[in-house]
Amino acid sequence: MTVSPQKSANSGVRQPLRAMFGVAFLAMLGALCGSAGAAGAAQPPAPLPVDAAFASVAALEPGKIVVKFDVLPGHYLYRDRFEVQANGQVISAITLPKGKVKVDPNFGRVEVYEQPFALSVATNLTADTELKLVFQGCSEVAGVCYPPATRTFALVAGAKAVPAKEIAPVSLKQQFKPQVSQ
Amino acid sequence: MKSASKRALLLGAGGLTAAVAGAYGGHWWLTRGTVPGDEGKLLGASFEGLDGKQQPIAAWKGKTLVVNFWATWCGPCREEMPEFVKAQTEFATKGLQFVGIAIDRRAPVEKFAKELAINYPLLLGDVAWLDAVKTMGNPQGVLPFTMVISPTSEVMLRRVGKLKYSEIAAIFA
Repeated sequence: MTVSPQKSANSGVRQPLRAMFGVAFLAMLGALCGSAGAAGAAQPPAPLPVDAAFASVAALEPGKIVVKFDVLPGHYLYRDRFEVQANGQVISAITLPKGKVKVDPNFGRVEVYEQPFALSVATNLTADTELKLVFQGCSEVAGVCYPPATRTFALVAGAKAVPAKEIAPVSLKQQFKPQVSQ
Repeated sequence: MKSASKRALLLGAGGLTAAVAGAYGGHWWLTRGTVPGDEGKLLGASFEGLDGKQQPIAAWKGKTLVVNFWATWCGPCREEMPEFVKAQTEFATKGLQFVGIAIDRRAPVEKFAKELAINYPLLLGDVAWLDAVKTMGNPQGVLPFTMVISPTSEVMLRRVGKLKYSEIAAIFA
């Protein structure tokens, strides 16, 4: 078989190219193997910060305090795990909308919020108020639960809604009510 | 050696190097957010056991230690624990030792341990540990969180979320 000089020159160019593609392919393959090895079998996404998953704002309105939650898709808050204090006083008169009934393999039928919602707290407070709120939820997408989170809101009468501020976690004896573990 | 064979050998070596570099790069890319370092604090800590006695984690030095942070109020934590019971039974003779640290109250932990016939020690941890684990590879302080620690105190695996039986079995394969 006769090889023309033209063809020979081309193959001289093609071979390094082929080699480069080969090396690049192996590198990609290696990267994929490395990724797969590091990730194990398709790991779920990393959990978001609790304030990103459950962003909240509160406002002092005539006769009530309104707290609005923005629940990100793939996350939920337990309806029975809210606790409220206003100026240090525990408030039990919380009005919560109906949640979605979730049949949990561990906790049975529980109500959860998977969508944005608002809760209200009846109050006759009219001056500046410090609201403390405890809530607890999970990330379905990440397969984890957030511990009960405590947030405070410095409410000013007549002013617009304010965002939550994080405060240090308190001891389990104070924060975990019996129903949380049932 | 013919130049073609030499070239093939060089290309092969280059490809292998690239594959190793790629694998390392892929591993780095996926684990780049992990913050190692504070597990020494855990390995030197003691926790209250369900018998009321303080239990040092160092008591299990020399074992392949699986430390699982969990709580009864955490659904995913409860779901993975039957697999831990199975793994503890299966690999105890190979040096596996599970330890559960419950961020919880004693009563529900005792109740759950009985229901599930947990066959490894359950200890009680203060909520402050949820802050401590933020520098051990669990930046949001969520549950469940598990670390597998080698007999020489190296962290072999960190898992935010559920850990499967098959992943534990793979360690002993």
